[in-house]
Amino acid sequence: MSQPSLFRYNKDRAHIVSEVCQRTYSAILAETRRKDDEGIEYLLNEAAFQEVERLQGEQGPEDEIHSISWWRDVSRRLGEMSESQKRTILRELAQSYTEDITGSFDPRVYRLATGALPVGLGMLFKAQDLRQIPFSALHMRKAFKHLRDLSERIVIEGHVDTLRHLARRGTLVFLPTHSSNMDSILMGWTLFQAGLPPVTYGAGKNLFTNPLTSFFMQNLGAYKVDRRIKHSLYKELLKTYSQVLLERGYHSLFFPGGTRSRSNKVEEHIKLGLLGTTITAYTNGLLSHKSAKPIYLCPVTINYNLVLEAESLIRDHLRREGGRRYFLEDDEFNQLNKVFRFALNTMQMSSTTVMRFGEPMDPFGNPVDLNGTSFDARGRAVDPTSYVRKALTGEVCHDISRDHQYTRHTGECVRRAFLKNTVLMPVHLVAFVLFELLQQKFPRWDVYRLLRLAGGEIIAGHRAQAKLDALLIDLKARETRGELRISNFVRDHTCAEIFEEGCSYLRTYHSSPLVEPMMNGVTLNKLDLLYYYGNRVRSFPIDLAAIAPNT
Amino acid sequence: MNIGLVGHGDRFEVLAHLLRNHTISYWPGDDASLAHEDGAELPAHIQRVELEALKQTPLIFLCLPIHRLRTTGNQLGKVLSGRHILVHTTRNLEMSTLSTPSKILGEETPTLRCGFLTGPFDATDALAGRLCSGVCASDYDEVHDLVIAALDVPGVRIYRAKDLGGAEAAAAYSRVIAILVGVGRQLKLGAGFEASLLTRGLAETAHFVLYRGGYESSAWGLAGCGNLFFDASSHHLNGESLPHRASDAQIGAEFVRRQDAPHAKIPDTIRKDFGSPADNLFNLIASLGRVPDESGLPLPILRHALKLVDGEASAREIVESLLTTPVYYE
Repeated sequence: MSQPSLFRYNKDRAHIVSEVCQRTYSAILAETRRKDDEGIEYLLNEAAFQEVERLQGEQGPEDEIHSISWWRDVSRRLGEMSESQKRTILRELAQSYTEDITGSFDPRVYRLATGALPVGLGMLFKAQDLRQIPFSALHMRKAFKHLRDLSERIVIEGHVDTLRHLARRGTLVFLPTHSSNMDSILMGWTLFQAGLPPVTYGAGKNLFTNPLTSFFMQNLGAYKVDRRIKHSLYKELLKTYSQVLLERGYHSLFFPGGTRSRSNKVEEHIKLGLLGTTITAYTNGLLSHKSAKPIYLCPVTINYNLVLEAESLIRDHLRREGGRRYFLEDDEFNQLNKVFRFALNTMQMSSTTVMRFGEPMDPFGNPVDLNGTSFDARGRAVDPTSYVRKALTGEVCHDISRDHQYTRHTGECVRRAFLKNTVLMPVHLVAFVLFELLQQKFPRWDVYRLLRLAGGEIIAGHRAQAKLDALLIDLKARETRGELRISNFVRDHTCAEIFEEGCSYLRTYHSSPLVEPMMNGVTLNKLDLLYYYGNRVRSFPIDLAAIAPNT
Repeated sequence: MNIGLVGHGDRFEVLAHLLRNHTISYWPGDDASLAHEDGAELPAHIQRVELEALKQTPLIFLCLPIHRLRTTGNQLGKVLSGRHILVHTTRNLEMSTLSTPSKILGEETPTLRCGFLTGPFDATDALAGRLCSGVCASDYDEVHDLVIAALDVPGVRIYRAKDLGGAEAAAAYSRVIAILVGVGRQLKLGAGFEASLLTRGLAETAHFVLYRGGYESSAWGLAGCGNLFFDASSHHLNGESLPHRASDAQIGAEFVRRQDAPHAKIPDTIRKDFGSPADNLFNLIASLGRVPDESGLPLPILRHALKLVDGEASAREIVESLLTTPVYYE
């Protein structure tokens, strides 16, 4: 592979900042000229109001760009400012925000990370007993190779070869599912391992203050997103930044779900803001250079057996969805304890994670082959530039309303691709079956009542396996139809073996075992987590009672 | 403007007339036997073309029955691109899947810019120069702009709507109500019955539209309410028309006219005598028959229309049963 585009990032940095500022500034001025009641003062006032409110309420460890007194001063003087003064403030804000957002990339840190990261991840994912690893001076190289050999534990599958070809032709935008803060790290390693180029991506500003991650974040192409800032100017700058990067050929990554899935269901709602920048960037490319690089989107599913933050995520989900029906349980553990426990416990397991690259598509949702040719749903070649041409005249143009609809359509294509490429693993299937059997025992109870009252119930082993057997038949049929994927373990093992594997995962890692085997059955303990892991299967319209009515 | 026109039937004739200020490239579709009446001369502004020529027409109207839409769409997909705009006039849903016409066109062609033109207009009024109004439902402003520009003739009012899926659902479902309006009118049940049926029928249409992910307001607009009132109008019900141009209400009235025959046999005789209008309507109602169970919505008018077209009961029995369904809050 020729040198990845990200390697020239630092040289481009000043130009990128300048372009983002200038574009945003010009776009805002043009918008305010179009509408009489939308002068710059409204935009600035909105920003000042929201920032004062925010800064009064809370202040995290992250640096603030402007202090509360600065914002109050702007707010007070806004009504009396001349147009020129307002423009100066706008320009200054655009500059300071963009400087804050813009990341950096150091090839030396990249080489360090791609060398050291597998060691760290190897300790998390490697199945073997650490005592077996020869940690002596004579065998250090062998020891490190042992730990670096992640390929058994992180399985990479899907359209990788096509993506390698497309990376040479155009700009890639990876769109992964999001379950854990481990996702970014895993994606970084996976891209490197798969021979795909490094990417730039937006990361929460909190990760730039974490002593462990900040060094890497600051030097590996990540750009800062301050999620606490909600006003339009900041959002506009973020979108413009993403657009400019794409137009300049920087491969990118963002999580279309916006945040980690609290319920563990596959993303049902796709955020359209950053996704829309792919169409704008594509059209800008056509308008400015007739031979502009195309843009290719790639949905990626990250499929874990166990999720690091499962407990806090499901708690969050249940509290939001259940409201007063959900009764909070006390959790004493802090973040470090959780990471440590996760590391210790998963080292005992053959924990496999599957990174699956879906079929790449153009910005309009059409699948793309390795030559970069787009195809419609019936396999006919289609010219993607035709989508951004006016119907009557054929000229390429921006059309906000049209492009917004296209983005919705592409978002729907990404959502369907996530489902098609979701890999179901033993822990998902077993958790789903056990919880559904529990629900069948108490048909009148809703989920919240079950969680509160049904802990300690025993499910007969033979019933669970019978249901699992019926489920496996259904899932294999769905896989044949291309609706989902099942893991290699599920495909290659018997029902009893899958049940055993799933149960052994459910006894690992979390503060107490989710299930406990009994003589003739399984005792269900942590029902919220069982529900969490089973939700992966609930992403699909599977009615267990209908497919296995007599068990 | 160079505009494409594909298909046949009443809406085809309306559009052929209303688009008289433009150059029309007419393609009969993938089954030439269903083309514009054999031997009839096409007006001067309409030129019959081969499929390939439609590449040059950015705006294409499709006037096709639902069972032809997929195959014709697949043919069109060979020559169209993302730049083209397709506007259909089909008030129906696909029999096996209940897919809307726009979804079918999205699957069979590469174009994303689709629209639905519907509302209370027909060839009789258009050719007589009477007021025609309709709605162009589409997610895309450009589709609205081009359709309105194309139909910019005196006496024609085309409204815009953004709820494409909702408009298609409303336009299809209102046909279920129309068939029973025809039954009630022929049984001379009076204005009170008709008003109740129309009102509750529109409420049921709104429930269906919501279930399909549309906006309730689409049921009350020209796609739902407008089409239903038009189908149910006296002019439409009692006016002379050929069987293959019969309205849904007229077909409903036939169930009463034939009430002396065994009710199980009536639907087949109507299909035989009326051809595709009856087939399309009965197939639509039969397809919608699974919606009450799938959705959990009661939809009593649909259930009774289904019994009518299945020949399970006579028209009179259907109406009597309908009038004894439980009454709840409006």
